[in-house]
Parts: sequence; C-alpha cells; structure tokens
Amino acid sequence: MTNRSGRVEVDDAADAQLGASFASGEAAALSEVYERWGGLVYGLASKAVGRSDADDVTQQVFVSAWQSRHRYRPEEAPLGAWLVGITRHRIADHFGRRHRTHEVPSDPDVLRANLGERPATNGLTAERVDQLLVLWEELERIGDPQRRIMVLAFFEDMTHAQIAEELSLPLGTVKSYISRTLRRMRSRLEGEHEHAS
Amino acid sequence: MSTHLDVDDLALVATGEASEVQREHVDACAQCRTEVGSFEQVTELLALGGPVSAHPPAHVWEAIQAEVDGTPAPAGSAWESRRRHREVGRQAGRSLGWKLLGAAAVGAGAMWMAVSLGSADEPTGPVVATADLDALESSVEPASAEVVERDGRRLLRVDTSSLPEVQDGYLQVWLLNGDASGMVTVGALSRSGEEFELPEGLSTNTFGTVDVSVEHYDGNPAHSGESLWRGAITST
Repeated sequence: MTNRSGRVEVDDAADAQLGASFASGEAAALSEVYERWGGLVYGLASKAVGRSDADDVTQQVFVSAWQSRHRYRPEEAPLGAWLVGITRHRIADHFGRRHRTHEVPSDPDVLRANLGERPATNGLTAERVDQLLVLWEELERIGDPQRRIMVLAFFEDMTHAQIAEELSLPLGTVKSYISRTLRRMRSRLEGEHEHAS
Repeated sequence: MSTHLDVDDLALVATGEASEVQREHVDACAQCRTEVGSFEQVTELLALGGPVSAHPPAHVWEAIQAEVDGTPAPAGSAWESRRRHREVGRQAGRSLGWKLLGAAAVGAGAMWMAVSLGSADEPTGPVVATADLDALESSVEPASAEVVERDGRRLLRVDTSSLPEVQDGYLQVWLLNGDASGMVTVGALSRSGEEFELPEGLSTNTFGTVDVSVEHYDGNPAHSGESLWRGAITST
C-alpha cells in the first residue's frame, strides 16, 4: 500500500465544525475531538515525557480541555492548536513536578518504557521540548495546505519539487509556503524566548 | 560581493534547497549566515521532533470518560488503571474511536480503514466470501471469517470459538496482500462474531488474507508479527 506521505487528508472545514460543537459543549463532541487529536496529543506527550507518563498527560489534557471548553474561542485558533497549547502546559507542569521531586520511576516496566522513548527525544531538554511544542502548535494553527507541505518537507524528507508534484501545486507556491511558515515559526520561537527571559 | 538574500530565500537556504549562487553568497556573508542559522534552529527542531502521532491505549479514554462523567476513574491514575485492564480482549473494542485514530496519525505505517460495528444483532446479508482461519498458536482453536453484503456495504465478520486472554494488549484484525508486503488494519477484535465494515475501494482480491494478531500497547502501528489466526479469502 502506498502511503509514503502518511496520507491523511485533514479537513479544515470539518475540524472547524468540530471546534464549534466542542465549544458549545455538545456531549458527543469530546469523543470526536479525542478521535481526531488523541493520537497527536499522546504522540507529543510520549515524545516529551516518555510513554508511560504520556497516559497521564493525555488524560489531563482532554479532561482540562473539556472542563475549560467555554474558554475556547473558535475564531482565535483552530481546536488542534488550542489542544497542543494545553498539552504544552501539562508537559511543562510535568517537568516542573519531576524537577521538584527528583522522582525516578522504580517500577521496572515504567523505567523500561521511559528508556525506550529516550532515543526518539534524543535527550531533549525541557526547554527544547517546549520549543518543539510551540512549533507543533503553529503547525496545527496554519491549516492546510501549509501544514501538509511542512509535514512532507520535514517529516517525509521530500524535496520541494516532489511536494509540488504530490500536491499538484506550483513549485513557487510550495517554496513560498515553506519560507513563510519558517518565518512564522522563527518569530514564535523568538517570542517565546523573550517571554521566558 | 553579491547583494544580500531576501528573508524568504534565507529560509529556503536553511531547508537545504538553495541555488549555487545563493549558497556561495551565504558562505561568504556573515550577516546572511547568521540569518540562515536562526532558521536552522527551526528546521533542526522540526527534524528532531519528527512525526509524532501514536495510538493511545484504550484505558486513557476510559479514564477521561470516567473523569468527565464525574465518576472517579477505576483506580485513580492512568498507570494504575492500565494494570487493571491487562485482560484486554473485551475492553479494547469498547470505544469506537480507536479504529479511526490511526487515520489521523501522520506518518503511521498503515491506515485504520474500517470501523467496528460491534457484534451483529442485525440480520446478516448474503455471504459473498469466506475464509477458514488456521490456528497459528496452540492456545487457540481454528476459526472462520466471512464477508457479507448488507445495504450495499461489505462487512467482514470474524467468528472464533473463544478469544484468548491477552496480557497487556489486544487482538487486531488485518487484511494482507499475497506476499504480505502490504497490509491494512481492519479493527480491534473484542468478541467473537464481531463485524467490521470494509472500505469501498478495498479489494479482497488484492488484500486476500485475513490475519488476527496480538498487538501490545506500545504505540507502534506496525504488525507485531505474533499472529494467532490466518486464512485466505475465497469468493462463494
């Protein structure tokens, strides 16, 4: 099966509609939101804190998202970006807590699961993890086709020409989306840096 | 020396796609090199991050649901509840969402293509294909599968005499192509007689082998290699 690009058509309109029903507190919306973004939140959390703690972080993210759904403003950000923002805060809390307690998992299963996760994060510091989450929040914010282009360029290692062919877009358009997105991401990182210092 | 590059070109240089002329200029120009360096912070971080989607274990959703319903989760923390749910089988199929999650997974090796419809109390339609599933492990009895048509949909039904208890994992139904070089996930099997709707474009001629494997909650979407049953689909 050809699935070179991890082919997933992200439907911005459907996402927006889901965001609106979530904000209005429709009971069924939470499970749909979880279906749509649970994998992303869990994947980010696994990368940041290891797989065993990712369960707790994922749970916290969706519970607090639901509890504060009235604070979600669909017109300000897509729901995916808002959720990644919450994920970022929960992960920062997690690092803060671990730092304070110097907690080391003693359960061999937990330890092994965490160790297994390490190569992926490559020993990223809490600060780098935070920066990475900022970039993911931005990816969720920009929508398609920009998001798709970035995924193909950076996660699928496709050349700009290959992306243009894949998405039937002019090469110049692909290049300008990539440079524009990189500029946005750079300013986000700089902004966060100034904010933190 | 040539003129400075504009900011868009500098960003593109950081992606490794620049013309010879642009590269030469950046090599020679400290100011542009600094700019490229600031973009490389972004590109390196993206490269480090990689694709991140993973398939969360079923107990995470159960814990969320319990908490938002106001009922406490089975054992407080997610980790604790994972232990409670070790004898999976029946738990895994409960939340419908799982089968769709993989489809949202950027970079996942296989797509989740079908939605479990639960066990069928509905009347079955005509059987269009069947498969005898050989037991590949001594712990299980041979089983069978059939493709039935109902309301213009094709449903894959997997019948087993009993399901084994799975330690820290669940049973996954797949369709494999001839040499098993390609495979499609169909859904998590939680009870005997469970039905899965097959997507319209999916050919059971190309993907002609039913396989049921034991998968673990390791977030890895690929086949574990631990198959319990397998058998070729034959049209009736």
